[in-house]
Amino acid sequence: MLALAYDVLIYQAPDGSLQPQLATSWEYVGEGNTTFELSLRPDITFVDGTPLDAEAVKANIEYRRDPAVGSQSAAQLAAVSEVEVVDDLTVRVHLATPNPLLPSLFTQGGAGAMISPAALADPAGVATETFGVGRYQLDANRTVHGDHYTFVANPDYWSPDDVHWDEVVVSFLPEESAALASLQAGQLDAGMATSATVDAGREAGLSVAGPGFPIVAGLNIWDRTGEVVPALGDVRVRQALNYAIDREAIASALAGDSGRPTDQLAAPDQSGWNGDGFYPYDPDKARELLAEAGYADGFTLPVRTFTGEQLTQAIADNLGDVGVVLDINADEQMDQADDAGNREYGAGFLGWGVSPPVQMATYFWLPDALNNPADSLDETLVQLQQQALVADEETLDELSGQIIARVAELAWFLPVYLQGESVLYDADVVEVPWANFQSVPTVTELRPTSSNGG
Amino acid sequence: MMRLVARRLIISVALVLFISLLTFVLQTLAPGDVARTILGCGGQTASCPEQQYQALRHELGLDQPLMVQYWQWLSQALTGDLGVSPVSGLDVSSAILSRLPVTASLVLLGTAATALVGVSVGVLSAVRGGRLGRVVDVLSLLGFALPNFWLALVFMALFSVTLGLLPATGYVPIDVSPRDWALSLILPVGTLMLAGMAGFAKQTRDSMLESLSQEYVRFLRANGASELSIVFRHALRNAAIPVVTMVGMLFVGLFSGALFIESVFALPGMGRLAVQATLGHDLPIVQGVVVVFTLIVVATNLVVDLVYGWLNPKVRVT
Repeated sequence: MLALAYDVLIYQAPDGSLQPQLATSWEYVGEGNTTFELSLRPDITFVDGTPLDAEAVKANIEYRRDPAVGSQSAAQLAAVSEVEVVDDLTVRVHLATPNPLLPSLFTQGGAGAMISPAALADPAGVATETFGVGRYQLDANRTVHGDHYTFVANPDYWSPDDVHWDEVVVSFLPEESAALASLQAGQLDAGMATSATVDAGREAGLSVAGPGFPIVAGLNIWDRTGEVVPALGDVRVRQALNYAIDREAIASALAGDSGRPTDQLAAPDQSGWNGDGFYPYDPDKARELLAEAGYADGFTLPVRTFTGEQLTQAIADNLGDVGVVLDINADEQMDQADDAGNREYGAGFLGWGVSPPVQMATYFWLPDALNNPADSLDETLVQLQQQALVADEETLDELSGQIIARVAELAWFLPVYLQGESVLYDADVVEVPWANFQSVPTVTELRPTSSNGG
Repeated sequence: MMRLVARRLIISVALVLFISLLTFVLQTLAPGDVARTILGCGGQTASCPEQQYQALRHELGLDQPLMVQYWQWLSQALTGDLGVSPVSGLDVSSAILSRLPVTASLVLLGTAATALVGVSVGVLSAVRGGRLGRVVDVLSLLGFALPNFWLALVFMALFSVTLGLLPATGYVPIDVSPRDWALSLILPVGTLMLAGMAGFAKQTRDSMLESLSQEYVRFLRANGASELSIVFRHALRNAAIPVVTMVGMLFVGLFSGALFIESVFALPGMGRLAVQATLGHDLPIVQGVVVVFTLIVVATNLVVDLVYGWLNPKVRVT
């Protein structure tokens, strides 16, 4: 929704590609991914008249970097050591440690949206008005925060051809079935939908785009060295668990058309994807591997999850077939960073938005990763990570694939399926560009089917 | 009467203080906190980058003792300043004020419609009896049994999707368009009414039957009073006391019912504000809504007591 009123430095298109928006070009300076230079589009001003220049970009990065502000990008910006204003339209970001992912950090998915520095100085105003460079501006009088937001076209936008509507109203409906009724009644033209309503929407004659923005669901095998469950220390056992899962069946039962099986922590056409084929469903092979490892009679695996989650039960049924008993412990809430608590279990529920492997590494498989309670260490992964951090774009791509392959080979996880939300829409009114399992198109991408906007 | 009001007001202040403290404590006992919400790691399987998380907690004062945090809120609230939401940056008082008209419309119309229809049906079935009485009994059972959620969705499917007469969801402020305001409230109020009406009718019928069988009614009839005057001036007034209690209870109950109706029909009312704030650990908003709700409940009870006094002079003495 923010994309309506806030242009970003670098725009991530629905097909995942990075395109110029407020920045016309960007590149790493020198070797090692520690200096990143952005060139800005000239003659752009924020809606309050402040010019968008290098100083403005610097102010934005420094604002989000401050942990007291609470920006979701603060952790990734923590490595920024200096923001250098080279000239009016050139900014250099200096990093204390290498990071090859700055281009995607400065998109709409990260810290890409630019806010007028004047507004940053008085952040209270940002809650009720918009202060960006944007196609639309928030109409505060016709907005109830948390319910609906009315945006009206900005007549001074720098690229008028990209303004497709006179007015856009974004509503938040807590009940999906009520949202579906509103779509059917023509009150809404497009809406996000989970697997719960996609089929009903399609039957009602609405068009479906998606699913996008993949979340990988499965189990994170926490006890990779076999401290609590000795069997898990053996790679053959962890691989056996992976062979025992009928991913196709589970994905279709739990997520329907909104899901897709996966045996790795990556998504098709995204960085690191190796194609299907690490662990095809093969219970016989699973039994064989278990027997080889000395667990022909199976073992009990304590798992931590949260209440109401269904996937773990489905996994338990599959694993039961090869003699492994899941002891499922469901809490109201499950803190992945609760190392001490999580160390008592063999594995825990995994549900995570797929991001580039070098970033996933810091969450899941480097020794100091947030969701690696036993601090498991694999030298190969650490080396691959070090190479990837300083690699150029092409090499990074190659290394990302190797990282995901190594993680799959170690079988530190039990990924089962990818799932994402779809968009239901009225094709007579709106067109929705989409690339499956890659992205949720921003609202700015929705365009009128006919020539008349509305 | 003045003493009754004064005593009630003193109790109310204590009640508001107690409930605000209770809410504060309960909310902080729930897993998670607002720093997680802001950092986007407040989900059921969340994990927060530790350094940023601790820094933000400190900035928000969440690392201070619970009683210090409560005192900070209270001392501010006593000056009429309910604070600012750390999640949205909005002023709590204005957030509540912008949503109060929605909930007020819903609850007032819901109470009025339920009471009016319920009492009418109840009186009619008491006077006419027979088949109508049995219909009221069956309806009241159905009203309790049918889930509101299902009823709401059936209404939407029928009146919005199939017939296209009414909007399925959303709210239009009365100053924007009185007609659209009314249209946007028909389904939510209708759902509330159907759920509460039957019980109301049954209560009215039972009290009416009791009143009508009293000695004085026979006396009035013997003296030639008209049937209309007996039913409305005498019997209904006596039967009204339990009904007034029900109106009060209904009014208060609808505030919690509104919480659900507002979610289904996507009405931007206080109930939904409270739900969103609770899930996001947005304490200033939760506290603000609870204080306003408590004041409304206290005021309603006071009004009900005053109406009792008017209906039944015996109450005035005690």
